[in-house]
Formats: sequence, C-alpha cells, structure tokens
Amino acid sequence: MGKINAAFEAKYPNITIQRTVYAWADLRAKDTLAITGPNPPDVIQEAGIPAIGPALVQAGALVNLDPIADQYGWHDRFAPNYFQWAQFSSDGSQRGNGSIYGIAYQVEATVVFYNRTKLQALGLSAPATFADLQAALAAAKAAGETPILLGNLEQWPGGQFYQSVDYTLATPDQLTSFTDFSYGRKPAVSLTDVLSQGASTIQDWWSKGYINADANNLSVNDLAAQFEAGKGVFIVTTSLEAPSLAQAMGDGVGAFIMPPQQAGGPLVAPGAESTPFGIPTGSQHQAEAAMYLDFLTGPDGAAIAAAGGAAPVVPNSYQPPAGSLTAELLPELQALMTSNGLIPWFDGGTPSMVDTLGGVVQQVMAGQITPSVFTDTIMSDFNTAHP
Amino acid sequence: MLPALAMVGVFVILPLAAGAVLSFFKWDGINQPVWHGLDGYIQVFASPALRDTLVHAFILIGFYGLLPISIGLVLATVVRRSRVRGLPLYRTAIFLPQVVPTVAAAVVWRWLYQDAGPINSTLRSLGLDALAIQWLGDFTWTLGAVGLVGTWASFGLCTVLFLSAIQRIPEELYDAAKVDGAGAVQEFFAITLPALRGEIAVALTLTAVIALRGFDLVYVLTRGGPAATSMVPGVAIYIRAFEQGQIGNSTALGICLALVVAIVVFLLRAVGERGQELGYE
Repeated sequence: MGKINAAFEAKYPNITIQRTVYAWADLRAKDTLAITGPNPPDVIQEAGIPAIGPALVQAGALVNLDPIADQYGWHDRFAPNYFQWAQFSSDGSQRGNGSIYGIAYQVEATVVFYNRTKLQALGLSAPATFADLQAALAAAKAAGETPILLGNLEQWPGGQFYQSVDYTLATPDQLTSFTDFSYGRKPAVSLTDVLSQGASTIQDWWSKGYINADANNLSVNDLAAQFEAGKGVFIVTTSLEAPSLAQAMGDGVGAFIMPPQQAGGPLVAPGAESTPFGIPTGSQHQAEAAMYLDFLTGPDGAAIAAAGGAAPVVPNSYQPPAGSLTAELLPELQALMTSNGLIPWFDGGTPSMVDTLGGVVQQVMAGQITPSVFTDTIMSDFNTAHP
Repeated sequence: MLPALAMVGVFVILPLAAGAVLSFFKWDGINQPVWHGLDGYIQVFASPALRDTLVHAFILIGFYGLLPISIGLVLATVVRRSRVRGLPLYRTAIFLPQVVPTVAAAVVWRWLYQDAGPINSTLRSLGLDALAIQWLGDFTWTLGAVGLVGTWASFGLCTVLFLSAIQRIPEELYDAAKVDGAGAVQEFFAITLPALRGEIAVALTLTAVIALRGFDLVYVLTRGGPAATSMVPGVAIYIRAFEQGQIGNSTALGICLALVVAIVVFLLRAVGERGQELGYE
C-alpha cells in the first residue's frame, strides 16, 4: 500500500495521502466510528462489510460508486461478480447485487499452503483430488508429522478452514446456495446435508490426529511463526498470507486451491474481492478519492500490488519470477475469479455468523457437539437474522 | 462539592442514563434507533449464552477475589509471625503484578500458556505430561486458567492491604493468646481474621467488581473461547456492540451487569458493616 500511495502521489503531485493503519482485529470496530464521525477519511478500507455494510448504506454514509465505475470503465476492467461483496440495494437491505459501495485491488481466497520440503520427503506432490489430500494427511500422520497446523485461538481461522473443506464437498447447486446464504438470501437448495458432511469431515480429521492438538491454544500469529519454523505439512488460511510466507520460507513453501472431488473437476474456494475500499459521504475530496480508487485498482496499482505478493485480477505489467509462490498462486486465483470458482465466505450471512461458526467448529472438532447440532446452530443463527 | 458533582454528572450519570435509554431500542450504531421495549432484556435472560457469561463472571470472583484473599491472609500471617527482613522489598515484589498493565500481562501469559510455552515444557520435563493441557484451548479448564491470571494480578494488592492492617493489631492480643495456649491456627481465627474483617470486605469488593465487569484479560487471552466457555459479559458486550452492530441489545446486557455489580457491592458492604456492629472493628 505504501508503494502504491507513493506512486499515486508521484503521478498527482498536488495530492498528499495521509495513511492510518489499524490491526485487522481493530478495524471492524474502528470503521463505523471513522465513517460516521465528524471528520471522516476520504478513502476507507471497509472491514466487516457483512456486519456493518447494510447499516452504513442505509444511513447514506458511503458514496454510491456506480457513476465512478461508469466514468472510469470499471465494468470493462472486472467481471460482474467482482463487485458483489460490496454491492447493495440503495436501502442497504439486499447485499450481493445493486450499486457498488466499495472496490478492492485484489482477490482473496482461503487456500492451502504446504511445506514443500516435507511433502517431498513424504514422496508426495500437491494433491490433485480431495481423496489424494486425505491420503497425504494419513501419510504425514504416519510419518510423525503434524499434517494440518491450525491456529484457532481466535476462532475465525477454524471457520475459514471449515468453509474451505465444505465448499469442496458441495455440489454446484449447493455452491450457488452458499452464495445466497453469504449475502443473507434464503438458499434455494437445503444446505443442511453438506454442512453436516463438512462437520463430520473435520471431526474425523481431528479424531485421527490430522490437526495439531493445541489448535485452540495457538494464535494465528504464532501459527505462521511455527509453520515458517518448519512445523506442520499443510496450513489452510487466507491467500493474503502468501507474501509473508514467501519472504520467510522462499522456495520452501507452495500453495494450491483445496482440490476437487474428481480429478480435473472445477476448483472452488471460499473467497471474494479482498476487503474493499470506499468513500465516506462526509469526505471533502470525493473526486480525488475516486481518482485514487481507480489508480489503486487499475493496471498501475495492480503491477505494484502483484510485485508485493498481492493477487490483483487486472492484467498488468508484472511478471512473477518462475518458481515463486506468486507464480504458483496468482494464476490460480485469477482463474478462480473468471470461472466463478470464488464463493463468498458464508460466515458473512449474518452479523454474528463469524462468531457462531467459529464456536461450533471448535465444539464439533472436540466432539462436544454432533454434526447435526453444528448444522442446526448455524441455520438457527441464519433464520433468526433473516426471518 | 459542586465541581465534583458536575464531573460525576457528565462522566457517570449522563452516560449511564443514555445507556439505560438505549437499552430499550434496537440500534445498529448508525441509523435511527427503533423502539424495542424490553426485548433486549428478555434476550439477556432468555439466551443461555448470555446467561452463561454472568455465571462465568461469578466463577471468576472466586479466582479474582476469594483465592487472592486466602493467599494474602496466609502470606500476611506468615510475615507477621516470622518477622521477615527486607519487608519493603518483599512488599514491592508481590505488589508488582498490580502495577503491570493487564494487557501487557495477558500477552505474556498467553505465551506462558502456549503448548510450546514454559509451563507445559516444565510439566513435560518433570514427566507430568497429563497435566500439560491446552490452557487457553480446553473446554473445561480455560476459564480457570484465565482466572489464575486474575489471581496472580490481585493477590499482591490483598497481601499488602492485609500486611499493613495486621501490623496495627496490638501485640498484647497475640501475647494473651499465647498465654492461653493458642496455637498458630487458633490465633489466626480468634485474632487476625476478625481484626482484618474490614480489609477483607474492601478487598472482596474491589476484586469482585473487577471480576464482574472484566474485559481486557479475557479479550486478550481467549476472546471468550474455546467456543464460549470463557466468555464474560464485558467481552460479549464489546463484540455485540462494536463488531456485530447490536448496540441496543448489548446495552441491555451492560445495564444488567451494572445492576448485578451494584447488588453484589451492596451485599458485601452490608456484610462488612454487620461485622462492625458485632464489634470486630
């Protein structure tokens, strides 16, 4: 971001950017206060869109970006589904279609990273099917390794891990319904079976010792440190971790999208455009803010972002070095975007779903609840929020 | 008096009143609040998850209050009987946890409690593998592990409070007890404990309030997890209000919490004052 801002300032010398950075965990709470406060920023990263987006749009606190999208030709630049994450009806009640209220410069998905050295030592390569993955987990366990390293003290990482597994188990119809669920619309086909199936799968993995026993006692930061230090064969986490993992592990880390049931089948992953940027209505410099959003999400910004390890979908001048993690992951993420393989995280379906899902994932893995109670809890949270 | 009243009015009474009003509304923090009547309060009592947070807070009183007070009483008695040299240094050392910011302490404790952390490493090197549990990730023991950090944080305050009081007890009382043939234990229950009744009430009030309205320790250590086994009202209020946009609902929980704290403090004071009437002071 720093480099993109510097390039923007160099291109428009009369504009100076003052950037304020918050930890991700704090951003959700800070955003509402900043946007609705007396002196809002000109551009803001909209964390927690599923929870607070509807209220912000309803209150008219965010600028409708439709005219700006037309002016700068964003519809030619991006596929229609790129905008869904921050699209709302004008009263904020519907999400996932309508006007654009935010735009990101990259996509993000929950993917699988692996320790290349360990996988090779096991005589394996990146799995092509879900069955291959399960075989790899068993082989890693038999060799005394920690097959999947999970840092789940904060609970949401377990939720992401679960969604990644469950989307691979889902049929195309169910995936469409997961998209509906994510945007708070009643799913067309029932999701109870596939939700329970995913819960059984991770419960099974936990009981077989495929996941580190201290998962609930390990924070997400400590997870990265331990994986970089050589613990664990696989981690399932956000693609946004790619740059720091590549920096720490070099060629020693690889990545793949959670493999499909059938070899060569369509790839899916929980994902969307990454946390979007928008313009508060209270901004005094909306035209400049629009120029900035266009620069950030256009080819110039994309080239800088990709060089920094991000995953922009806009064609740009940057060529990742052969054999690098970016070279491995970036084309896959771009392909997911164009093939409609990015299904939004369904834990955005209600304001409390991140916490609900995080809790039941911990419970079902530990055998505290059955997969059917797991599913009932999720559906009851959804039905309470969307009566 | 007037400036003090104005300060209390602006910074305590007004926010409390605003909170009380808000608790009857459904509000996302951004749009117009919608009248909701008692729905927020009904949810507090109808939802097992929210009721559990209050249960957890009361369990924490044991760890934040009763346990440190017991430790403080033992330490103060031992110090009185053995006439430790370098008492100021000793007092400073045990008071230190009270001075360390809770968040900083919590970060250190999170490291101590890690599976690869010093506590489990020590236990395993002693062959006590069964005791090396996932301190912050265990459905049964995590609330206790969080509570023990609270014990660590407040036992120094209790000890120092009791130490200063115990030194004011006339030596003649203990001499008389010795003449009557009282042992250390009888001495403790006949003289020390009644004389410290006022201090114990103060310590219990302070620590109970910290336990009931606690936020920082739980938020940093576990965020209420695993699942919601260590969730306390303070963290639940924060998550609902600032992350889930349910400000009205979480204010209702906040008002309930304030009432519970007020009742507990009232009861503790009543017990303390009854002690005075009985002539212990």
